[in-house]
Amino acid sequence: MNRLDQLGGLFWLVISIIVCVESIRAHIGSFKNPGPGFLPLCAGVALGVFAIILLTTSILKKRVEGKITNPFKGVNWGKAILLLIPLFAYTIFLSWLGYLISTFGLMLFLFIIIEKSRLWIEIMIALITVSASYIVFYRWLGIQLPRGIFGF
Amino acid sequence: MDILNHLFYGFSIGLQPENLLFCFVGCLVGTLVGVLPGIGPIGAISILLPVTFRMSPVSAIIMLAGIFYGAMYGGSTTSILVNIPGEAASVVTCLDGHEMAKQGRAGPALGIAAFGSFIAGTLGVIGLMLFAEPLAEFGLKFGSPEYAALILLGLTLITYLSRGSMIKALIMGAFGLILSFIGLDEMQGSPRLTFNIFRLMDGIDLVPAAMGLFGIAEILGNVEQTTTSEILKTKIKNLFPNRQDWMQAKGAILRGSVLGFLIGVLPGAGATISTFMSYGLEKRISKDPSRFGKGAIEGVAGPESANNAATAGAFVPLLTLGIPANVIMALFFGALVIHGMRPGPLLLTDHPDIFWGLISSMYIGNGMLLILNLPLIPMWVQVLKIPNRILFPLILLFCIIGAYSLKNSVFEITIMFIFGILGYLFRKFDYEPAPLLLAFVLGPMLEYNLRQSLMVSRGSLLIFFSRPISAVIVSIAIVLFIISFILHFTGGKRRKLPA
Repeated sequence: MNRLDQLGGLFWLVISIIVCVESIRAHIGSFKNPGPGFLPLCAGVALGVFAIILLTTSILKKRVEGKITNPFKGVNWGKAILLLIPLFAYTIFLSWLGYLISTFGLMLFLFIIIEKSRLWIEIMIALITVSASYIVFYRWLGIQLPRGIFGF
Repeated sequence: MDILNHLFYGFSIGLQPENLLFCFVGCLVGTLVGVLPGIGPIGAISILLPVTFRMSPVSAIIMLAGIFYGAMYGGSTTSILVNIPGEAASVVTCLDGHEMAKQGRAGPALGIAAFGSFIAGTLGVIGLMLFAEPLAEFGLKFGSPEYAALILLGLTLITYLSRGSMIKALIMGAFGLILSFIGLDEMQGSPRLTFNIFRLMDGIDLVPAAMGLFGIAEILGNVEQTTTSEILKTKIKNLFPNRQDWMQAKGAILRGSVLGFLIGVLPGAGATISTFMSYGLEKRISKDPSRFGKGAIEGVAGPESANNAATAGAFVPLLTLGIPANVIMALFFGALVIHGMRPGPLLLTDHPDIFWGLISSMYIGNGMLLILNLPLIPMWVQVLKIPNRILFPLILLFCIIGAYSLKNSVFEITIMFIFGILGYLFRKFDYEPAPLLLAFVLGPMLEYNLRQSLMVSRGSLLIFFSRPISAVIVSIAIVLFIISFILHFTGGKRRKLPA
């Protein structure tokens, strides 16, 4: 329990308030005839109660323990963040550029980010991976993959 | 005699070439993900779930089951040779397994893990076969109040048995329920929690959510690690344990099998908890507990048997009552629903091919795994050498194609990545994602049965206490819930004392 738990408690409290408001908007009905918002409201209230318990216990325990642990200490979390950028860029470009081009770009980027090696090796591996996946999933298994503006 | 007839019927399905092939593929993939640290059976099953959409339901379930119990076999290899658990249920095996390897006894450690797994896996399947029919008949007496009560008990148990903070597990459960309610209400067809985003009208699919929480998040967590694992350079010989090894391990295997099966049946428990309990039990009853942690063969045999028996036990509540006992069973639940089946007491009568085909495949699969895990150990050791820079992008690629193929939509990939970030952050802040996913699967069932019960009783909550089965189940759930809270607060006080 530490400051992060206090932030966590606050975060969940906000989420619970949003859920409760949205549930009431969706019509909660009555016990006799529960509406679409009935169970979401119950879950939202439960989340709020648990969030308050987390918040209060973390405040009380912090006074005694006074220990703050940083979950990002000692790890290369920047690498994880760096990994997310091409992943989200991929979702934007996939429909536009098509599977082959965008996935080749993504794979190349990932191979480089995770552990850098010689560029031509990375290009070759990315090329083989994309071609093999295209043959297996598109040709053999018949899974539809986005074609993009170039038609492939 | 009836059981034997059913079993022969099951083998007539399980031995069909197509099902044999998928059983083998499942066992192979399961062993692979068990061996490889960084991706476990939950991630593998969620990634491969979309691939099964084009298979027959029996083949799909046989393959997914193969991944599940195959991972339990494979996990021990990494624990023993690298001292890094291939998956969560093999954590305990590191303690004595790796010690045995360091003493030059990697062979007997791997051997007893494989034989113990085989014996326990087979005993577990026998248990599943014997328990399933009577329990399914009992399940036919269940109405909406009983189902609602049972789901509440399952959700309470998973938070009660959670490894970390109980309050965080409860938060995850509540958040999982909220996520499951997003989209159109099934009873009245009106939207809720969609925030006017049209794409959310259909709700969030299980597959991208599971792939994100357990596949993408696992990769993000592994990518940031700066440590590298080293494979123990030892010659693996004498894979067949000697007479003394057997004498020491036989009791542990049998106890682990029974304990693992019973814990596997419990909603919220599962293979990982069974291994810790088995290890604790063996240490407690041992004449010389000081041997544990220094290469005691019982410390490998017991937990490895327990996790395999637990996999069979976990199928009991799913196939008989339609209640998934853990996250992996939640994925199986999703797979059965996607294939047009409703898991529950009627599954045995409506789809005997699924149930008995699965049972027979588990017998066959256990045999296959014994062959895959003993003579092929050197191959699995080589697999451990696959660099992460190749492995992680490939897993990501599988996730992307799997998510896209669900609805041919990029939106599913986005959902998967969002859940991946959530899963990564949850791990960072000590929130277990398992209660979230279980609640996410059980949410719609809970809502339907709870609303039905309230409508039938004209709004009276007493309906849950006026029917004997639901009264017992709800009472247990309430008692556990209260105990959880008492433990949470008293546990806090106990921690304060030393300070």
